[in-house]
Amino acid sequence: MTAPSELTTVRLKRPEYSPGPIVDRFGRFPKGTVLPETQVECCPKRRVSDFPPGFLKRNHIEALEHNQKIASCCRHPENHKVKAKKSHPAEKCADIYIFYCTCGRKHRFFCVGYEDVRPEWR
Amino acid sequence: MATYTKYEAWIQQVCDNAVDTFGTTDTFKAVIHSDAPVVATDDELADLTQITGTGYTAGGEDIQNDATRSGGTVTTTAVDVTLTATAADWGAGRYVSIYDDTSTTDKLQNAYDYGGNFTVGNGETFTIDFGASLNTYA
Repeated sequence: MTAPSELTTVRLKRPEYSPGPIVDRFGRFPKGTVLPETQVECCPKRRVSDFPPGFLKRNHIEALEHNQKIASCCRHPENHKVKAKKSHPAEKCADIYIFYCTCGRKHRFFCVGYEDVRPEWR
Repeated sequence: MATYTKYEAWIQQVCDNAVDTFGTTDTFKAVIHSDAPVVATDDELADLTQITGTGYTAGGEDIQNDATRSGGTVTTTAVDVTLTATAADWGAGRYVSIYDDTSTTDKLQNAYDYGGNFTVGNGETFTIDFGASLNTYA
């Protein structure tokens, strides 16, 4: 019997863990730190009526149409303008949509989930 | 998605069976706060500085969390939350955090960064859109 040759040992490394993008982007910081603003506009303000029906997120349109706590003009998003932003340039798509009513009020939508379809425009 | 960032102590709560991420018994809520989340040391709701304003309830809103399992993956879901200001007295906020309102001392799950301060004027709204799923455990 021949002796074993080319002896080696292997230590499996654990996968690297990150708590998430806030730490990735800003590092570890002490309590009370004011982080820099990072929003970027990615889709300019346009009239909602300029978009084909169903292009903008339906739940956004319905949230405005069905909200009895807001002014009647605000419940007609077809008369609003809308723009979209990214909360950080590294975001893969828009995650902030701001609807501007004709009365001057703003209605913000912050998209934090997965697997929804986000409209973007130029 | 926005910046899903986990509070580090959350994973211990999950492993200790101290929180019900499947949503069978526990109620999860969303809050808006102005202080940047320190994921290493913030672990309960009292660690955050929530905004104040007419139409905003301290302790936030029920996100009606639920979950399903497919194979070895649990997917959690939530229902969108719309906050409507009924006076022009809202303080500026920037972050949204999710916590388990049923757990002892309201354990923090994760935070999102809006990327800048915002206020909500009288008659204006701020909606947290949770999409088709909130997160997954695999």
